[in-house]
Amino acid sequence: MTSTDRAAGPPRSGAPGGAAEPVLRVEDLRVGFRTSRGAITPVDGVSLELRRGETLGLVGESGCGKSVTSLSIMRLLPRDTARVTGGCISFGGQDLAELSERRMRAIRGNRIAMIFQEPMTSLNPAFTIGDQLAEPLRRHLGMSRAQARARAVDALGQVGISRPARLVGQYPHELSGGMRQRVMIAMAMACEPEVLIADEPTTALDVTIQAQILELIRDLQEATGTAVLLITHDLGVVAETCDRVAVMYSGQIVEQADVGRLFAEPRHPYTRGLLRSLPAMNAGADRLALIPGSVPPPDDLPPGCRFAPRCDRRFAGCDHTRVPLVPTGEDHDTRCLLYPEAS
Amino acid sequence: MDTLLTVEGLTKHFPVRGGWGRTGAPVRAVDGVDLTAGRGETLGIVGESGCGKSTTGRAILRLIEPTAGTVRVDGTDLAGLGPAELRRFRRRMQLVFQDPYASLDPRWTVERTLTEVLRTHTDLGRDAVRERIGDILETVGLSAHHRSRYPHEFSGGQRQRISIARALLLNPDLVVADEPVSALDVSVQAQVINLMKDLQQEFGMTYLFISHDLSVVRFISDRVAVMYLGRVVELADTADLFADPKHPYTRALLSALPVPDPAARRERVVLTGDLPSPSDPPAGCAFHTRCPLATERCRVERPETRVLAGESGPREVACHLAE
Repeated sequence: MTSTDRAAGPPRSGAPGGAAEPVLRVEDLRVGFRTSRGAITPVDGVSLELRRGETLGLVGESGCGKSVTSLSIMRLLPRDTARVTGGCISFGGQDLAELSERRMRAIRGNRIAMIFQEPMTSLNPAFTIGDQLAEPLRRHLGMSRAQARARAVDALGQVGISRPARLVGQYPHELSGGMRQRVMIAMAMACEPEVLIADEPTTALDVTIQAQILELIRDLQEATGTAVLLITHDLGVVAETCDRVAVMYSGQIVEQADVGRLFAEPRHPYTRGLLRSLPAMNAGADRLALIPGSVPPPDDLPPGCRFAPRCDRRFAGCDHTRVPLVPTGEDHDTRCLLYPEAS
Repeated sequence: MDTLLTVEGLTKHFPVRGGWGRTGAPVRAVDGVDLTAGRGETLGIVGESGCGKSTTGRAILRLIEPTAGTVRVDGTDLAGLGPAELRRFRRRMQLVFQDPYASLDPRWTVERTLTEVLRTHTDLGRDAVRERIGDILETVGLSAHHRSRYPHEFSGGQRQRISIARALLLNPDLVVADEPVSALDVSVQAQVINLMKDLQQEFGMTYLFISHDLSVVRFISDRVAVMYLGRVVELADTADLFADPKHPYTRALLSALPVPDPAARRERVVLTGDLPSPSDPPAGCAFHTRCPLATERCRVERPETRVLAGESGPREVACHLAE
């Protein structure tokens, strides 16, 4: 059945003409995990393209595989339990899977950077902010101690920290959550990466701080042309910051489109259900529209469409056929039998 | 509406111990909160981390002892109750926490957790307890056979249903729900919110719904109180508050909320700076350090809460400039 998927292929790969060559391309990525209950495939045939200067949102609920996808790109999956079992991740013409760990280290944190949800756990409590900011600069850009320190102060100024020269001598616990996330962004952006992967960067922050951080990422992106892969569960954040969106469900992308189109004409019943269930979409209503049931356990997936058991538009074919993600309109891909491939 | 809960001047200061035996300035987590909630009403409390919303909820239930202020539930002043009376009164007030995994004992089956509540607060016999547990599980959308399972065997949404079942076992008048859906995914969140609304319609209890999520609060609340640095800065009918926020902090908060509509482009009031420390709140209006409209008066004079006329009834705001 895998072959059906492959034949349909990643929708835009190799399309001649059009936009510039993507900076990062994920093709048919498969990741396997060994668990106490057997082998599972939390990412099952994910294809993505990230173009220079754009923001691609990767949305979905817990366990849909969005974070595993990003960790696979960074090659940061736990080595003893997880393995990329198929597909390819190409960055600047290279397959990241084929690089030695040493060459991967030269890319990670330098040309592809990542920020995480919880800035406290990703900063080292035992080192000053200055030391932590200087490390990638010295390692990747070969700067001297003094140069790196000066650059660190600059970088902190760029992320809107008011007294950067004082902050470089401080430790992470002395900062608020918003400040720590600014430091993380300063670290991630210090080497002007081509790709920034932001995994729920504002989920732990208050809304007013979230607004500041999202604006900051946008400003830096405009200045550097960095492509951003924004992983989030928050459709409001997606609507406000992304150019394109990919919606994941149960290890697969079920819909991918330009952000305006996805919110205006969602096609996949999961995307539609998700949008309908938002409290913001139900102002004045007495009850929220619901998606019934829950996500299938990863070790017991439905044989056909993975959303079929919860779908209000399910028909007999949904339960038996593995459904491929196909282009169903201009810059719009859908994994649903109701939407046949557009010619 | 018949008033169930009246909170006046509620204050909770946490002492801070400095090094070498010094005592630091106390953290003014809650600093003079006045609230009322009607029977069967949902009062939302919103605000950012550290604004004192959770402490307010806990101080109302006397799970932490307030420093000052009075809390009356159905006419009874809670401060006037002795330990035994308070324990008896507790059955009328329940709390639902954010993280159901942390608030359910992982070594206890659902049945044992629920039985404990009934044994403590009622003198129901064994069969009546069993029957009540079966009923309550069905009421919250689980089934009676879930009783013999452990918390880890449930999903996050199901665990929150168990917490709600535990809170409802004794038919409380007041349920304080502290971020009850914040840890849940969107689709599960919607299920739990609908459940809470249905249960309120059926049993008529009052909810104090504490959350940082404005869209959830807007959907579920009849009235909303906005807190900043331990005080209520604005309190209004939900429709009034969202249509026409009066306090500059409320305005900033609402404008920061991401809207799931890429076509909506609106003016955003981006607040500069972080929340000031609650152990050293700014003089005058606590919000003046971040307020885009602050005047000299705001820096020196603390604004009293004033009552204004709203579309759906009186509304309160603590700002010199609001009209």
